[in-house]
This record gives sequence, structure tokens and C-alpha cells, in this order.
Amino acid sequence: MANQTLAHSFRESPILRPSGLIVLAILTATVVILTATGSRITLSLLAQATIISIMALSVGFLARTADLISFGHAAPFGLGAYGTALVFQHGIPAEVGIWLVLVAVFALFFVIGLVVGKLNGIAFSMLTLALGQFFFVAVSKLRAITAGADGMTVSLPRSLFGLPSRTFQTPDGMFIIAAVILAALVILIYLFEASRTGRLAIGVRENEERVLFLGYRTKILKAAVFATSATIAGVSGVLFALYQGFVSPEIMHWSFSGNALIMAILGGSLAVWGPVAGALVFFFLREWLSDLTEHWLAVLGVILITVTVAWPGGMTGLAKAMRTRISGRERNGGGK
Amino acid sequence: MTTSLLELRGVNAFYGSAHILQGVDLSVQSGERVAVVGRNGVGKTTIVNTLLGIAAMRGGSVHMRGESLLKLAGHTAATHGIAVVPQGRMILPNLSIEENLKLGASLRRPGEWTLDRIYGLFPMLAERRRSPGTALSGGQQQMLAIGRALMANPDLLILDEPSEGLAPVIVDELEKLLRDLTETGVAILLIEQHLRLVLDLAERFYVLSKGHVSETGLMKDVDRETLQARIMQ
Repeated sequence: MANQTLAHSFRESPILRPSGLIVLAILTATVVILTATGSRITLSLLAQATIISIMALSVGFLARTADLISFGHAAPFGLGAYGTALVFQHGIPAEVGIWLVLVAVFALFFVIGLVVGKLNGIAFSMLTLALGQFFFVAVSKLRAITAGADGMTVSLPRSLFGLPSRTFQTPDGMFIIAAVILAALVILIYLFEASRTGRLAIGVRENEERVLFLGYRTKILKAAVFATSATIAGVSGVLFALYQGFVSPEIMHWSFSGNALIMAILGGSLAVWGPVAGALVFFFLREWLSDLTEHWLAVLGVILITVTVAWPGGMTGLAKAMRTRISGRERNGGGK
Repeated sequence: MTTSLLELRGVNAFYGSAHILQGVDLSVQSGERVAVVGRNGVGKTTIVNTLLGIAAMRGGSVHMRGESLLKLAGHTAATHGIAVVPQGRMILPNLSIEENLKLGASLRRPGEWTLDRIYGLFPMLAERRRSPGTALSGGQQQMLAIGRALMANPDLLILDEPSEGLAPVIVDELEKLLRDLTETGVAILLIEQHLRLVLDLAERFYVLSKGHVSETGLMKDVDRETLQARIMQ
């Protein structure tokens, strides 16, 4: 039965349509070429951008699946990062420890989701903002555990998941690892959306009350979606800690949640890949602008406002508009 | 004494501090077709909302097959065999017709209603199973909403204003369909403002007035004018 459900999800998922497979092949080739030819600085930026893409993916997943905008996803990101640092510091078996951190993030945010999931719209966003700041302050103040504002060094063991630890801290190694994990998460989200539970989640997004009256415990489903999204952010945090080798409270500040949200909005939520594309564009735009001018934040703001006004659906909205235009031209006989 | 399928005794229900239902008594037997009629705003839909836990019940009791439903909540009505076709149908727009139907089988209650049987009843839904639910006309959406409710294999089907916005010829089809459904043992509680469907379909009626039942009786004992007059009293 479970196999049938999985097979059904595979059949229904756009990722395994020819176009999806072609995109996957192109992206794989791009990663290989960039790894082989990119400079150390380029690869370092790519590694960081890919890790942050996973964070944006988590925020976008929540927005797309549950129509909920989180201002507090820096919290699970930070918990993933700090959890990893603490696992290594206390000599807990590394692989088991990292899995436990992710399971703990899921469990914690499932319970939180049962409470905050009762809210929608701006109330939900404000509550997640407050929650995020609570964790930020907690990490800053619990000096005995987290070293407070001084931050913690992440001391990696000699090997991790069968790979030498150095692999996680070199730009090319982390770029490939993060890209593989990102691709796996995107595929899993596509499969989830095509599954029965995924369709149910879409139903809850459309009309929670109606799905509730059909006999479903929608609050549990919403909490599970929230926790899954938080766990994806946690994965991003784990990778961040492994790559940077250092964690500090800044990564849990609300402004980091805001950045992830901007990336998700820039990319759009009409497709799963939207927040990933948004994150990559945002990251490299920021790097490029900060090289050009010290007022790069203002320029970035203007660009973002322009993009948001011109294409409210973000990059996915733009892609959809272009596709509609091209197919319209084809129907009209060749673009007159 | 036979146990009613659904029985409301002295139900008082509130929206916040607004006291809407003021001691409503109502019962439905298995396979029966019962209508609740009344003017706008007398509390007809509140009966449904009380069963779904939207309106707060503070007084009275609700029994399903003699079992007291102590804590009414959105998801529990389906557990007890109550399916609701809501006012406005509430088709989920981004799901296909088939996905909308499948969502109806939430609890996998044992029963005769399967996807194939729903498609047998509504061939038009089978032909367009991959189309979005909102691509259907009003009448077709009503069929989809009924099909989705039946997928839960309910003992009681509650329809809230099902004829709203439908052409007379579609209402006739709906009446025949609902009549056929009761032959399979499903009871129907029809909440309706328009009397055409009520007169053609129901066996018993309740007139609701200012939050309580002002009159009840057999449909065969009243004609349209009498019923209309009692509603307007």
C-alpha cells in the first residue's frame, strides 16, 4: 500500500516529467562545471548561497503549502546550527547527534505549530516573529550553554557521514553536498505535493473549514507542515554550522528570517523552485551591489520593490507569464 | 421505542453572546427525508453549525443513534456518520474533481460509496475527473459536493440551501437524485428557504422561527400556501 502511494506520487510529480528531468540534468551539469572551473571565491559564494537557498526553500514551502508567512524561521535555522555545535562539543556520536537535532527541531516546532497554526495571516506572522526573537534572546542569554554573544566554535570530528570533515569546510565540497541535499529536498517536496497528504494540505490551504468538516484534523496537518518547514530550515542551519565552523546569535535575529522571506517572495511561490531561484539571485545581487557601492542596501531595496510591483508572483510568476506568452504565440502561428 | 438517527433536544446555541437557537427539538430517522424551513436569519444554518461545533452549544443535547455527542467539533461530525453539503458548495478550487472526491473519504468508513460508484451516479464527473472543481457549472458543482459528501459513506446527509442558484430543471434532477439516495438508507436533512425542493422531496418538515421550532408535521398534510403562511407567521 505504501509502495503504491509512493508510486502514485512519482507518477503524478512534475519532477519526473521529461521537462523536469531535463532541468535536473542541466542543473547537475552546471554544478559539475562550476565545481571544476569556478574560483575558490566563486565556489565559496556558491556554497553559502546554496545553504541559504535551503533556508529560503523552507520559508517558501510553508507559504506555498499552508499560505503562512513566517517571520521566525531563523529560529529553527539557528537551533539546527547550535544543535550541531553542541553535539560536537559534548562528544555525542556526530551522525546520530545531527539526526537527533533535526528530530528535536521537528518535534519542538510540531508542538509550536499546534498553537500558532490556529492563527492565519498577519497574526501568524507576528507570533512567529515573537517566537523567533524569543529564541534569539534565549541563545544570547544562555551563556553557560551557548557562550552568548561570543558565539561557539564548531569543532568537527575527523569524519562525518563517511566523508573526511575537511570536505564540509572546503567551498567545492560543501557546494556539492549542499546542492545534492537541496536537489533531494526539492524532489521530496514535489513528491509530497503529488501525494494524498500533499493534496490534503493544499485543500487545507484553500479552505481549512471545509476539509475539517470532511473529518480531518486539520490542526495536526498544519502543525506537521510547519514542523517540516522548520526542519528544512534546521537542515540549512546544520550545513551552515558545518561549513562556517562558528555559530553566533546573529543567525537567529529576525532580520535573517526577513532576508529568507524576501528571497522566497523574490522567487515566488507558484513553483517549488521559486524560493531557491530567489535566494540565488538575492545572494549574488547583494554581493555584486556591495562591491559597487556602500549604499547597496538602498539599491537592493529599490530593485526588490520594482520586481515585486512588476511581477507580484516573483520569478515563478514571470516564468509563468513568459510561458503563457510563448504558448500564445505558438497558437497564433509564430509570433506575429 | 425506536432510536432516532439524529435527535436534538432543547438545543441552545450561541455565536459569541448572540443566542441563536433557543431550545430546538428535532429528529431524523434512518432513511428519512426531513426539511427545516424558515425565513432568512431564523437560525436554520445554525443547526448545521452547531453539529459542526462552529456555533457553541450551551444547553440541550444531541444524540446520534442514541449516543450522546458531548463535544461537537468540526472533524467529529464525519466520525459519527454526518456529512454536510455546505451552502455555496465550497469546492476546493486548486484540486481536481477526483481529488475533491477523494478528500471526502477521510475516515474510510465502511460502506457502499466508492469513487466508481460516484462516477456511475454522476458520469459527467468521471468525464472531467482531472479538471479543476471550479471549472464546473453551479449544478455540476452541487453534484460534486454531494459526491464528496457521499464518499464518507454517511448515515445522514445534511444539505444547506442546495437549490440556491440552480435552474429549475437542475433542481428537479437534484430532487430525483436525493430521493434515490434515501432508497439506499441514507437519511437527508434539508435546510432550505425555497419551498419547491422541500415540497417535492421531504416527508416531514420543521418550521423554524426566531430560533425555535414553531411547527412540525408531515409534508403530505400541508400544501404550498399553508406552509408558506406558517413560515411567514
